[in-house]
Amino acid sequence: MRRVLLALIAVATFALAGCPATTGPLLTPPPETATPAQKQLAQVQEVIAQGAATLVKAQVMLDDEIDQGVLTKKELQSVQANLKKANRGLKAANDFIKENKLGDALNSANLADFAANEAEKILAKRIAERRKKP
Amino acid sequence: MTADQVIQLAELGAYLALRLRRHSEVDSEVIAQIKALIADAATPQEAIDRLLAKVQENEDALDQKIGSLPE
Repeated sequence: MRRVLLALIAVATFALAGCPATTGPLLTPPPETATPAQKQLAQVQEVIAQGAATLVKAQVMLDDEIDQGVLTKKELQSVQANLKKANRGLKAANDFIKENKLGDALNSANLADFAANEAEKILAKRIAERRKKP
Repeated sequence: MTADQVIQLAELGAYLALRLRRHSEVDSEVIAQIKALIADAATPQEAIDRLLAKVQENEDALDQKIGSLPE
């Protein structure tokens, strides 16, 4: 019984947290005639846009969980702290773009996207843990 | 398996199914909102600035909502 429960929770947590983005590019892709530098800039901008989309989704899920009342204030604050880290990463990436530091911008944007995904996984895990307790 | 365990399992399954469905709904809703938000942006940079402003707006609202919860 316990193993069935754990397996169910594991599958559901994985499914909740690991759903890939259901969209293609958010920004208009550069024309074929764009220079390599312009294409690289567009690539970094797209990563930032995707990161922002992931973050907004995680924020909506967190807002939902506040309304559900399943998690404690401390748990909600912990998830929110992770989302704030992701937001700081996206802002940093945007600032790097303005300074024309595209490599740094790409790193920050990727880290931010990762942080937002991790926050969502933590949220799903905490919900699953909480629900299995009597 | 006791009756309590069966009920607990059924409740958990139902709850997780609902969350999965909600996750999928959120995906579609948010992408639609985001596309509408940046649809008329003149440049990719303007689109990003709008997206980051939306993220900040949500962050502030969540801070306020969580802050107002009892300890």
